[in-house]
Amino acid sequence: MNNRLKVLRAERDWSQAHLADLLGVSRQTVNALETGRYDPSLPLAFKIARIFAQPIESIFSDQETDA
Amino acid sequence: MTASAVSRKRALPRRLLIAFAVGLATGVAGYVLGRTILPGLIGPDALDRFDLRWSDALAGLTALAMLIGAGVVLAICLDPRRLGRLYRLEGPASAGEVGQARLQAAVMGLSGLILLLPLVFALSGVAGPAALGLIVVLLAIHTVLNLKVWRGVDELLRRTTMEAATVTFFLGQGLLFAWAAAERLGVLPVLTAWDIYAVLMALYLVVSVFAASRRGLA
Repeated sequence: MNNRLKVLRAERDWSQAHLADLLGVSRQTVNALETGRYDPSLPLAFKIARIFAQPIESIFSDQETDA
Repeated sequence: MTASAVSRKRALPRRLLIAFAVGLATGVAGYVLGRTILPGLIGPDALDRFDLRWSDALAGLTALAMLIGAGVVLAICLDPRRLGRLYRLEGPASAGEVGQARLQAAVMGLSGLILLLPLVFALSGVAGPAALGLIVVLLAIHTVLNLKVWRGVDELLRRTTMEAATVTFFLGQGLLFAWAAAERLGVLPVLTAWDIYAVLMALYLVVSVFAASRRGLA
């Protein structure tokens, strides 16, 4: 699964630590999400969508959607 | 494929090459130590006095790998910038991140110690009940610390732990079924609980390293 987390964070000029605080996760998790090494749980995906005020599908996309 | 995935794919052969080189150097060093240095220190037939089994060697190596791994992480924890680089963070690790890494390393080291102690006690002739008592106390401490780690981490580490446990279970049960079938048919010798535990811990260590690397945690 791909995501726009890094772009969205950069647009807001947030550090990984700030986003991690907002999400209640570690910086390692933010890093793993941004580098595509980890797909979040559904509750965490919803939290990310709420924080960036965007629908989940505009942040996360699967390979078939991208193709 | 994303740019980061491409970059990871390129980095993989280099990392494998480094791992191979480290493994080769460690193997050669171990061979030299076992063939030339150790016999000179403890006598040429010292190890023959003990009834060492293949599972003793496997458990000993697994335990040493855990102890060395714990030591390396604890040493890295002395410098928050190095820990930050290890975890691929922006900047140095925070005090909380250093504390969590130290706790995880301590639990890994304690796992290694608990795995090593039955072997050490058996070889050194320490009385069974007293040795077992100490091991049970350490196991209880280890369980409490493990729970503390579990409660202190987020979903990434929990999922990584569960993945490692799942893969270990399926590999372990497949391996043990094959052995059990062969044992029942009289093709292979009977396994002891120690043999099975040594195999499971070695499997878990290898699988954990792969699972953590896959998530960028190692």
